[in-house]
Formats: sequence, structure tokens, C-alpha cells
Amino acid sequence: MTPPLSLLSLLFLGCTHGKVQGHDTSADSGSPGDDSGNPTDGGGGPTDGGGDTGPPPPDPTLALTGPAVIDPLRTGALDFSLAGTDVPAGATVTLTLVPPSGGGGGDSGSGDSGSGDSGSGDSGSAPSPSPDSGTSGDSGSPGDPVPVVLASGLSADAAFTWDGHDPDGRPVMDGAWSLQAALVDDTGTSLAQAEQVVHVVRTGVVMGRFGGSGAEDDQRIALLWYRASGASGYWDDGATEPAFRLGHVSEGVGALEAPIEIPAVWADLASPPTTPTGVNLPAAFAWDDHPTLSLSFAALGDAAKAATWTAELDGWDLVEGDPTSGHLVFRKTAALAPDGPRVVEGDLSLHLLADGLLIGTQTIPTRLYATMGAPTFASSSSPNLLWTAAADGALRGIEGVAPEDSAVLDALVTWVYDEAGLRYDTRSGASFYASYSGGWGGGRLNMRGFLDRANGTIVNCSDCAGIMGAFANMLGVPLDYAIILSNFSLNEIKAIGVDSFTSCPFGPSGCGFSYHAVTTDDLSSHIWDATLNLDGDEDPGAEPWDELRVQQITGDEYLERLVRSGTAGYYYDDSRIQVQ
Amino acid sequence: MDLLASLLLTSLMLLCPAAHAAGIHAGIPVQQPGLGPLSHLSPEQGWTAPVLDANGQPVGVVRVYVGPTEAAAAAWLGDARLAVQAPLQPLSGLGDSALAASTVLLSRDGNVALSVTLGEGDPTVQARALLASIVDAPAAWPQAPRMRQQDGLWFFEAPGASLEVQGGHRPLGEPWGYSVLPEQVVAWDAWGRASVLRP
Repeated sequence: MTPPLSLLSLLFLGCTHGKVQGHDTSADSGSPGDDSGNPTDGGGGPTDGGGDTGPPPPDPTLALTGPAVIDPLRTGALDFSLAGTDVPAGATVTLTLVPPSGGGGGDSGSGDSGSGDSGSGDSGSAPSPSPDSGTSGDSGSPGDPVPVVLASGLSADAAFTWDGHDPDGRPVMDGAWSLQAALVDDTGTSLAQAEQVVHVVRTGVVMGRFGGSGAEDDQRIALLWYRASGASGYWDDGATEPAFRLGHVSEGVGALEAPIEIPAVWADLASPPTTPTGVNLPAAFAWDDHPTLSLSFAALGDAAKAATWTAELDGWDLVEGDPTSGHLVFRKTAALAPDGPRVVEGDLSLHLLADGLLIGTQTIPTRLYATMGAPTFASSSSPNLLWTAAADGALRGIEGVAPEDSAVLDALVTWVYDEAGLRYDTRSGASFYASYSGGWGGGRLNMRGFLDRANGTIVNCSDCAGIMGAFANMLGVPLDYAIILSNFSLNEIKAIGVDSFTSCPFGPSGCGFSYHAVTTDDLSSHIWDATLNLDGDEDPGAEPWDELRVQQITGDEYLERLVRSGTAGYYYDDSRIQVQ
Repeated sequence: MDLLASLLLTSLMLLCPAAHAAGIHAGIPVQQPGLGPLSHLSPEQGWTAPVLDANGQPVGVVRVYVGPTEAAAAAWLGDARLAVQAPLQPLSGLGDSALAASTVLLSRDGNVALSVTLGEGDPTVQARALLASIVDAPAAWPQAPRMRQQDGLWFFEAPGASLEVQGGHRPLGEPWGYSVLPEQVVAWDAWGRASVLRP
């Protein structure tokens, strides 16, 4: 059998890595060919031509060392080395790749493959490569790989690399493959043999799920998408749905076989995926949580026993399981977002090692919403949950805020007033997204409509109070709304989206409110209002204006600055918005 | 004689379903020109849809409620007026009762109540169009959704109606089956009437 030129090239390129130096390679080969027991320091051999008077030449020995495990799709080329002793002049090494037993005459003679458990175990339990991916050389019989000479004429102390592919560039099938080296003289007589069993396995994470440990600092928060199809426009992950499910670790056949990577995080903030596989969902936790990430691995088969396996995830601690069990749980070492609520996103690098050697690195794209805590609506059922679109928008809008409720509310006022693109309804002061059901205590916000700006960008105070309440309670900051009643005239105000101060927001004949909705977290002792800014100077009813954002202003001061005349007081101030 | 009158009335209703007087109506067809996609809010609140301009851009919103009684519609109208900060003035000639500000109009006709809110312009045109499309047939209120269990999931059916489910949980990728029972399943018919199942 003549090795294909491409393989020889590959191997000789591998030889450029250099020889193993100063290494008694016969000592640890573990192969049946290393049991000669002969001294390895023969010192030159029979060169004195003394006939039968001198000692017989020592038998040559050959050792082959290298890694016990390789993933042909993820590992890349691994280093192997030959080490011969007392090698006669002119002797060279022929290297043969022998498939797992049962795979076409693979009589490796090694402990692993000879035990009978590797051929069926490995190839059967691991994700199945294509039938022809393990077919090597010229067998021409898919599914029935045969031994193939990888190289011949190698020196007895050559180093080479192998990447788990056959001479045609196809990743070989899973199982215990044997690399067999034979030292032959110039007549073709075998002088010594060595072998290294290499367990070929396709590694990979096939499922990942955030949360679920039950720990107090691992309380995953359900995320809701509001434009789902089917029985309801709402779909939430129940705080239990896996982030990703891949089903397989590779796809494609033959030389085109490639590992399946974990996809990018689902980008659509409104619509959820319609299939559970091949997607990667975001998740949410409190900012000071230490989330866990449970990972399920493809079975390693007999490769599990061939090496000591470990896994590492940058910035996360392994707290349960190991790769051979097929299940790992990592816990984030530091708090999710030590500086406060925000969107934590990026790629995690999962390293899989066998005997300390890197077998594969898998990237896990993540997007975790770090909020102040679980939603604080009066109801904890859908849709009064954390909406993905709201979390994404608000957390990016208030990024940098300290992890304190009042700071978050202050930031939300600024974000809504300045950044949400809203404009006060200076015609009628009518709501476009909020409504009341059963009186002022039954506030509802059409959150779906608002997120889409379905009714436009004009709003009133009920809308702004509802928006504030919706975002705050979604982010885990309790916030009620209060209704200021009734029919009072106004000092100078600067309404949202309006460029100037006025005391008559509806024109010369419209200088008062029949009511006004604000938000509070302490029964109107303190007020947050994204509808309008006040005049903060000594005379709030006239120029000049000292623009005052309504962020944790006392309820008394708020009324003093807002109301020019008329009776005004806070009512319904323990009411919490409901979203729909 | 009563039977004859009833038959005559029924025939008239079938021939000319539009109704413009007080009483119990079937509702307003939810597909209306000039409106965007509707959203069902809740049985207590009815449905809503954006008002679109000639370019398809949103310029306002309508809310429509079809209640079981005139009193329910009157209560809905009372709630609707709570969300308008400017003073509302009574208006005649639009249903049984109507209130208006410059860009807002609230009206009730029998058991049907509605609001039209625009950013600019006169809401009367849209309100009149909605009131004119009130129909009295079909009179039968939609049936509440039915529930069945299959393969460990709960499914809900309401032939001829749109379903809106609140609460519960569906596995990812499962459009119709619930692994956790919802709190409420609402069947909405094409005239904006809602029937509720609370599993």
C-alpha cells in the first residue's frame, strides 16, 4: 500500500517540529513492542568486525509516544514522537494507522483496543460520523475502514503530528485507533514495533441551561417575548428553558464534517424562536447573583477512560460533575454585574482537556440581563414578567447606574424623559397606551403597543407613569403610581418632548390638569415623574426657569412646584401598573 | 302577532345588520379601514388598534369595548375618561352619550363603547365610522374556549374565534400546547366580544 502523497506531505511537514530530544521514549510507550528488556545504551553496535568473538549486537527498540485522545474536529494537530535505540544503519520506520477493532482488521494489539470494548463502545456511543469519514486510504468501502500506511522511510527518532484525519483529509470516525510504527531494515525485515492508541472522539456541549441550582444567589428570572405565534402573543422561558440545545456535535460528511458551534444569542427581542434547537436564548438574573450554567456533553465513550478529563470556563468555577459524566455545572466566580444592573454579554470560552492537553475550545455566546431582582408587579404570572425587549432597552439606557433602587428610578426618569422619543399630548393630555379599568386604581399599560410605538410617540401622564412603573417593576424596583386630584391650575412645567416651559400646556385656555399621574415608592412621600420637569427656583410659577428633573422629590415639594392654584392631593398611591 | 313581529325584526336585522340605536348590539367588526393591527387587551378592556394615516403611519389609537350590558359599557366609558387630562365636554349626536376634547372622543351606544384619540385632527370622523359599523347580528355571544389534554399538554379551542391566553407556560417551539395551565383563556369573536375560560 502506498500512502497518498498528501498525507506524506502532511507528515513530513509535521517532522519539521523537530525530534524528541533527551527523552527515553521506550520507557512509557505502554505498547507491546517495548518489552525487549534490552539495554538501550548499546553504544555503537557491532562495528569492529571481530567475527564471533565480540558480544552480539543489542536488539533495536522503538517507542512511540503521543496523546491518548484527539477530537478530529476541534483539537488540531497533536505531536507524536518516535524514539529508537540501537537502530541499525539503514533501518527506517513505517507508520500505519489501524482502525478500531471491528472496523476492518484493526488488530492493534493494544490493551484498550484489544479489550474489545473500544471498537463498539467508542464508535457506538459517540455522535456518529458519516459512514465514510472513517474510511481511510484505498479501501473504497464506506463504513469499513482498513489499516493504511501513513508514512514510510521515517527515521527512528522522528517527530510528527496527526490531526485525526485520514489521508484524504476526512476526520476519522470515533473509536480507539492505533498508530503502529514498525522499524524495518533495508530488506524489509521487522526489527521492532511500537504502538500508540489514540481515542478519537467528537467532543462538544449539546445543551446549556442557566440557573436551577436552587441557591439564593442563582435565582434566574423569567424572560418574556411579546410577539409569539400560536395561542398567545406572549411566550416566556419560565426561568427554566435551556439557553441552547444542539442535538448533535457535528454536521456534514466526510471532509466537510464540521463541529456545530453554539449559535449567537437570539437577537429578536420581540419574537421568540419557533424551534427549540439551534438557538441560544438570553437569560436574566439579579445583578449580584452568581449564576450557574449547566452543560451537557456528548458522550465520550471509552475515551472517557483513556485520559483524565477536565473542563474550564473562564471566569466560572466548576462546582459539579466532570466531562466523563456528561454533565457539568459551572458557577460564576464573581457577581454577575458587580457595578450594577446592565446587560452582560460576550463569549465564554469552554476548554476541554484530557491529561492536561487541550482537546477543544468551544465558544458560548451569552447575553445575561442583570437586573435589580425579580419583577415586582402585583401579579407574578405572565405577562407581568421581565420582557426581553424592555430589559434590553432599559438596561442599556441606564447603564452605569448604581445598584440602588432610587438610583435606578432616577436613571429611568432621565432615560424616559430624554431618550424614549416621546412627546406630551399638548392637545388633550390623553393617553395613548395607558388606561384604567375599574377606576384609577386599575392602571394598565399596553406595553406591546408601547414597545412598538404602535400608536405613535405622543403620550400623557398616565402613559409616562405606566411606562415608568412597567420598566421599574420589570427590573425589580417596586414602584407604584399615584393620581393627583383634581382640576388644578399649573405653575411652569416643561413637558416631555416639549422645548419650552409653560403653565398652559393645552394652549391659552388650557392651563390646568383634571388629574395628574406620577410614580412613588413610598405612598407619595417621594415622587418620580417622567412626564414633566418643574421650575426648581424660588418662584416656580414664573420666569426665570431652573429646570428640575423630578427624581425623588418630596411629595410636598412636588405639589408646591406643580400646582398654581386649586386643591390637589395624592390618591391611589399604592397602585401598581399592570402590563399587557 | 309577537312572533310575526319578531320574525320581521330578525329578517330586517339579517338584511341590514348595521345598527345605530341604543340597546344590545353584536359589536363592531374588528377589521376596520384606517386602523392597524388590533390587539386584544382584556375582556374588561376590549380591543385596541392604531389609527393610521394615508402613509400607514400611526397617528392615534382607538379602543373598543363590547360589553354584555349597557351598564358595563357605561362603566368602561367612565374609566376611559379618567385617562384624559384636559377637560372633556359632552357632545350630542354620537351614540347614547359622548364626551370630547379637541383630539379625543369617547362614545357609547348601548353596550358598545369606544374612544378615539389622535395626536392631531378631529376624532369625530373615525368615531362616526366606528359607530356606523355597529351591527346587531350575530346576536349569540361566542362560546367560551374548550380545553383538552393531549400528550401531557393542554390545548384550547374556540372555533371561529381568536384565542388569547394569559399565564401558563408553553415549551419553546410549541405554538398551541401548554405544559402549565394558563390562568385565563379568552375567545374573541370578529365583533369584539369576549368569552373567558379559567381553567
